[in-house]
Amino acid sequence: MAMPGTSRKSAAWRSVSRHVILILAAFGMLYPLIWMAASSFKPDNLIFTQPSLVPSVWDFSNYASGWHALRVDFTTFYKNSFLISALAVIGNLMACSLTAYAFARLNFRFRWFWFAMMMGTLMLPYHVTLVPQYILFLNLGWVNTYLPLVVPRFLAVDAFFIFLMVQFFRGIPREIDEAAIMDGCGPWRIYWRIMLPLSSPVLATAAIFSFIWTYDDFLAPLIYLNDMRQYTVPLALRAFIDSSGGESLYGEMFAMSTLSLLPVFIVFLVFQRLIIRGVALGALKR
Amino acid sequence: MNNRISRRDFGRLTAAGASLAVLGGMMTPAQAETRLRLIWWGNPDRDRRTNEVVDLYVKQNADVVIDPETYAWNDYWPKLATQAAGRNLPDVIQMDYRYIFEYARRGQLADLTPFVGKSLDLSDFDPNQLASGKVDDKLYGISMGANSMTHVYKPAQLEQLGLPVPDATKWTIDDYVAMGKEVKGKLPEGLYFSENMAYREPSLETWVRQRGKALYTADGKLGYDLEDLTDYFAFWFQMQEDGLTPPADLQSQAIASGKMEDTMFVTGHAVFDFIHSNQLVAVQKLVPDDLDITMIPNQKDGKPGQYLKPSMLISMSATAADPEASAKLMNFFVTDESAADILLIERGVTGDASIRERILPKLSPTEQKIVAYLDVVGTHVGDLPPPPPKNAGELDRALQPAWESVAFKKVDLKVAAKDYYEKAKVALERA
Amino acid sequence: MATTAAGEIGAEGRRVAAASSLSARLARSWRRNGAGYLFLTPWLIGFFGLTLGPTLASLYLSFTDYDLLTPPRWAGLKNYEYAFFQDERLRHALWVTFHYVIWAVPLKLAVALALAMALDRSVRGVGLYRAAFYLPSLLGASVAIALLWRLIFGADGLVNHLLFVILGIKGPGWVTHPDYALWTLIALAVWQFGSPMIIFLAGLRQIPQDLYEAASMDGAGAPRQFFRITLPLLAPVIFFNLVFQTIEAFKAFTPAFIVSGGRGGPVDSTLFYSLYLYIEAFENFRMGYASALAWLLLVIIGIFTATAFLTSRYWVYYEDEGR
Repeated sequence: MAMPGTSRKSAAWRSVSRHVILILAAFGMLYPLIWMAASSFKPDNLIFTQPSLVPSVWDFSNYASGWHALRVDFTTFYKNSFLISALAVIGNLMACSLTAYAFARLNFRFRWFWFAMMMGTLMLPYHVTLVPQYILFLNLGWVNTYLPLVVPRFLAVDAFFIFLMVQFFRGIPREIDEAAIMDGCGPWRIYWRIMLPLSSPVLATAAIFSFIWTYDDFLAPLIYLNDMRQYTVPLALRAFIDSSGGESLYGEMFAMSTLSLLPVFIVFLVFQRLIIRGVALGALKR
Repeated sequence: MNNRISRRDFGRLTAAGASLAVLGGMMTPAQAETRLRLIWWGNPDRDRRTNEVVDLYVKQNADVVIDPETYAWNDYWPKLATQAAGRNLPDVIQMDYRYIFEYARRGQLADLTPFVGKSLDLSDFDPNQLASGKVDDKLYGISMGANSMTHVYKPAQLEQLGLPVPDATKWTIDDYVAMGKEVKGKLPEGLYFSENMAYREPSLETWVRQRGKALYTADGKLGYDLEDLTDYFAFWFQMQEDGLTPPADLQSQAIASGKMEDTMFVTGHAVFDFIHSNQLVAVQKLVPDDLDITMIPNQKDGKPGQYLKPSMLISMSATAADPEASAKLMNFFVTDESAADILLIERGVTGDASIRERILPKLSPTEQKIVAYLDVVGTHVGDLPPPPPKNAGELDRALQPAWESVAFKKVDLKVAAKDYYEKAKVALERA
Repeated sequence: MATTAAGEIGAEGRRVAAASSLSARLARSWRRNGAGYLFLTPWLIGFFGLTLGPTLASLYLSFTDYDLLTPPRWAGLKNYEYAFFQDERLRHALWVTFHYVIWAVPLKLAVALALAMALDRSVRGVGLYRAAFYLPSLLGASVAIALLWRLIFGADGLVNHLLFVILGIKGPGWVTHPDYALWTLIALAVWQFGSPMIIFLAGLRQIPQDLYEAASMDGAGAPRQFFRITLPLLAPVIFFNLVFQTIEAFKAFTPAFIVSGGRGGPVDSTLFYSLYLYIEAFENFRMGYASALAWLLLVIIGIFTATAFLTSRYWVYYEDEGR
C-alpha cells in the first residue's frame, strides 16, 4: 500500500498472473475430477463412448436415482459416516495429544522403548493383522457394531497422529514450559493450558486428516460391518460397480462419488482456517 | 493434582466409551426364532432382486429373520476369507465356481446330499448342472444358473463390414482368421477385428479341450502339454502381429481393468470380444447398438471346447447354526416360482426345467438371446472338466503376466510358455 | 519383590526399613515416571489390548502354513527360506517397491513443499486454492480413480491426445505398458500430494514471521531466506513427512490395486510388495507366507526408519533442544 503508483500497477499485474498460474495448475490437478463430475450428468451408455467434458445430453437423474439406488438410501450412509468420522476426530485429538505430550515433554523410564514400539506399529502391513484383529473383535462381540471403528481411536492406536504431534510439540520452545513450572504448573496444566493452545495448526491438521481418512476408509467398515444400514459412504459407493461383469450403475456411481467429495471439501475449508490462526504463535515464540 | 485431573480426563474417556457401548448395543437387533445370514456379491440390480426374494421368504415364514450381506466382487473374497478364519461364515453363501473347491476341500462348506429330496427339492433339476456343484462326490453347491463363453458382436456392424453372421456351431478358427484378414483394411483406425483373448484362462481351456485335453487331470496335474500352450501363444501372437487384435498396450487396458466398461468391445476397439453369456445384459447397457452372441470358433476337426458351467452357486456354511432352515432358504432361491419371477436369469439360466418354462416369456429380448444361445451350446458341449486342484486360481492369474511378457515382446513366446508350464507344475505341488 | 524376599530372612526392624525404603523408592519412581505413564495410559491400553495381540499373532503365523480356512500348522522357517532363496516374484516386487519409494517420495514432498509455500500467503481466495489442490487426495481408495487414471494415461487418453496435437507424436498406453506403468503410479502418488502439503503448511505457520522481517532488513533475498530460515526451522516437519511418506510408500497398496485391477500388471511391472502380499494372503490362501513377507517388510522399513532417526541429529534441529 505504501508503494508508489508505478509499482502498484506492476503489483496488480503480478497478482493477476499469480492467480492465472494457480487457476491453470488447479485445473490440471482437477481435470480428472471435473471429468467425473461431468460424467455424473451423462446416461450410462454415453459415459465411455463419449469421453468429452461437456455432456451432449444432460441427465440429472443420476443424482436422484443414485441416492436411492441401494436398499438403504444415502441419508443413512452419510449419517453413519459423519458419526464415525466425528468420533474418530474427537478420539484421535484427545488420545494422541496426550500420548504425544508424554513422548515429547515428559521424562520416564523406557520412553525410547515405547516410542520405538509406537513407530513399529506404523510399519507392519495391515493385511496380516486384519484376520487376528477380526478374531479379537469377534470374541469381544464387537463385530457388526461401530466399536471396532471407534474405540481404537480413543486408545491412540493411530501412531501417525502421535508422531505428527510429537514433531510439532517439540517445535515449541522449552523455555515456555520451564517458566510455567516456575509458576507451579504441573504437567497437566502445561499440556492443557500451554501446549494445546499453542498447537492449533497441528491439531487442526490432525482433525482434518482424522476426519477425511476415517470418512474415506473402506477396509475397516468392510470387514467389521455386515448390515447395510450401518454402511459408510465409501462402502456404499463400492456396491455400484460389479467388476465381475454384471450390471453396474456408472452414472449413479459418479454422481454419488462427486457428491461424497462435498462434505470433506467443506470440512477442509473450515478447518484449514484453524491452521492459519496459528499465526499468534509467532509472537509468543520470541 | 496430577491425579485429580487425569481422573477427570479418564472420566471423559470412559463416558465416551460407555456411550459407544450403548451405540453398539443399539446396532445389534433383538433375537428372533431363527436368524439366518445370507451373503452374496453383486450389483444394485442383483441386490434389489435378492432382497425382494428375502422379503418374500420372510413374509411366508414369520419365524425366520434374514440378515442379508452384500459386497462388490473384489471386496467379497477378503471379507469371506476373514469370516471363515473367524469361524463366522454366514449360513447361506453365494459361491463362485473357482472358489467352491477351495472352500469345500478345506471343510468350510456343508455337504448338501442329506437334504436332497427333503428340504432341497431338486427333482426337476438338470443333472449336468447339478453335477457342477459336486466336489469329490459330495454336493457343496447348487448352480444358480448356467453360463458359457461367447463371442459378442454387433450384427449391424458385421453387415456394414460385409461379414456374414457366424454360424455358432460350425465356424472354425480358420474362418475366424479369414474374416479378420478380409476386413482388416476396411476398419477405421483404432478398431480391430477382435480382442486378444490369450490372457483369459477360459480361452486357453477351450483351446486345450478342443484338442481333447483339459486344464487339469482328475488327480490334479496339468492336463495339457507344453506344445498346446506354445501353439496357443503362437496363434494369438500372430493375431497381434497381423494387426487383427489390438496392440499390446491397448489390449492391456482391458486386462488391467477386468471390468465391462474397459473391454476392447465397449471402448470401440474390437468387432468381436469374449464375454460370458450372463454378461450380455450388462454389456448391452453400455453400448447403444444391438448385440448378439455366438460360440467360440472350433479348431479344425476339434472336439467341443465349451461346457455349461455355473455362473454362481449357492452353498451352506459348515458352521451353519440351523442347517435345516438354511437348506429351506436355499431351496426357495433355486426352486420357488415366485422367487424365480423376481430373479429371472440375472444370475444365469436356471437348471430347473419347470422354472425355466415359467420365466421364459417374462424375459427381455436380450435375456431371451441368452437362453436361446445356451440352448444351442447345450447340444454342442463336452463333459464337465475334472474339478480344478488346489492353487488352480494362482495359475489362472499367472497366465496374464505370462501372456503379457509375450505380447510386449519381453520374452520369446516359446520361453514364456515353457516358463509358465514349469511354474504351473511347481505351484500345483506347493502348499 | 527382591527387597521383600530379603526382608523376610532378617529381623523385624530390617523388614520395616526395607518396606519403607521400598515405598520411598516407589514414591521416587512415581515422581519421576508417574506423570509420563499417566499420560501414556490410553495408548498403553490400546497397545496391549488391541495392537500387540494381533501383531504377535501375525508373527506366529509367519512360522506356519495357514490358509485361513483351516487351522495353522507349524512350519518352522519354511516361509522365510522360501522368501529368501526361491521366490523370484518377491525379488521383483521388492525392486518395483524400491523404485517407487525412491522416486515417488522425494517428488511428492518437493511438490508439496513448493505448493505449501506458494499457498502460505494472503492471496485472495487462498483457502479455495488449498482445498482445490487437496481435492485429489480426497479420492483416496475410490473406485473412480482407476477410471480417471486410464482416462489420462490410457492409449487414447488425455496425455496422448495432447502429445499428438502439440508434437504430432503417437504415445503408447502409458498406464498399461510395462515400461511406463510404474511411472504413472508415481505420477498418481505425486498428484495426491495434499497431506504432506497440509503438514508443511502447518509447519510454516510455526515459523515466527519476524525472522523473515529481520532477514529482509539485513538484505537477504528469497533463496537465502529459504535456506537460512525456512529449511532449518521446518526440519522437524520435513523429517516427519519424509519418514512417514517413506513408510507409506513401502506399504503402498491401494494405487496399484486399483489401477492394475489387483493384478500388478502389465507383466508384473506394478507388483508392489504389499500387493503381492495381499495376493498371497487372500487369493492364494497363503496367510502364513504373507505374514512372513509382512515381517520382512517390517524389518526393511525398520532399518530405514532407524537410520533416519539416527542421522536426524545432524540435520534436524528441535526448538526444545535449546540454542
